[in-house]
Amino acid sequence: MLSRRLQRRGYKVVVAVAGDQGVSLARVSAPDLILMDMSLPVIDGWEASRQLKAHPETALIPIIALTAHAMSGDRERALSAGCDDYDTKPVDFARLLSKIDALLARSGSG
Amino acid sequence: MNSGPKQSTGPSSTGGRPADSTAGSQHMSHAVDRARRLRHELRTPVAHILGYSELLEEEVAEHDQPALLVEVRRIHGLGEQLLREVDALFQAEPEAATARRWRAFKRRCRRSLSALRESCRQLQDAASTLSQTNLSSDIGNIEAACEAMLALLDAPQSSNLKPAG
Repeated sequence: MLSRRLQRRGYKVVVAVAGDQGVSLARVSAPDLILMDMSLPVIDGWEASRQLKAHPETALIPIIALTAHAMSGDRERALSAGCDDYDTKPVDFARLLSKIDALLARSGSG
Repeated sequence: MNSGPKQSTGPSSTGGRPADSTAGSQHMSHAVDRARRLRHELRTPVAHILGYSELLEEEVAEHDQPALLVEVRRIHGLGEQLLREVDALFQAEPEAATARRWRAFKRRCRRSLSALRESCRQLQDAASTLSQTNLSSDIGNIEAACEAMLALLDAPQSSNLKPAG
């Protein structure tokens, strides 16, 4: 659903359905930004983010963590896993777009 | 760097009270975990209802169908109401989310979900009349999310998931 909304805005989106797949896909496709669902199967988003940030090829790709937990401490946990920003589901799409734009501008991909 | 919480290891610090306090903190930790899991489970279908209704709103607005827009916004409003219900249930400490509050919460959610399903039916009919069949699968996704939330409210495991109290 989110990928469709982003595609409607002109973003090119590749989707991984599991954490390990996301890590491999990021290495192959080198995206400008990653939206990381933290509840992914196989390896969760926290671990996938750590792996991406530990690997030189993917360390600089901005990651926005997305979680439906919305509990206090989640933001800090996401940032300590290496994520660059954090948002909660249900996604406030306008707010997410502004975070995406800000991170893309910061990384020079915007 | 080791900056974690200090642990008591000496016999002098492991008398009766610390053991009680450990059991108490484990109980609290389980309650927090349970509340966290339940909140996550309940927010997921609500996120689908909101996300798909926003997607529908964009599509309906693009095709300039004001008659459909009213119903789509009603669905979105009901989704927001559900989200407020879920968040309110967990606003207080987990222990405060008692069984009584849980039952009242379920009643209110069922009312909203019933209204949502009715709105989805009306939207499907209206979209079909206006030959907007492209909307059908997203309306179906909202209906499926309603069913998922109802199942979660009714499932036997929801009594295990429900907040303590």
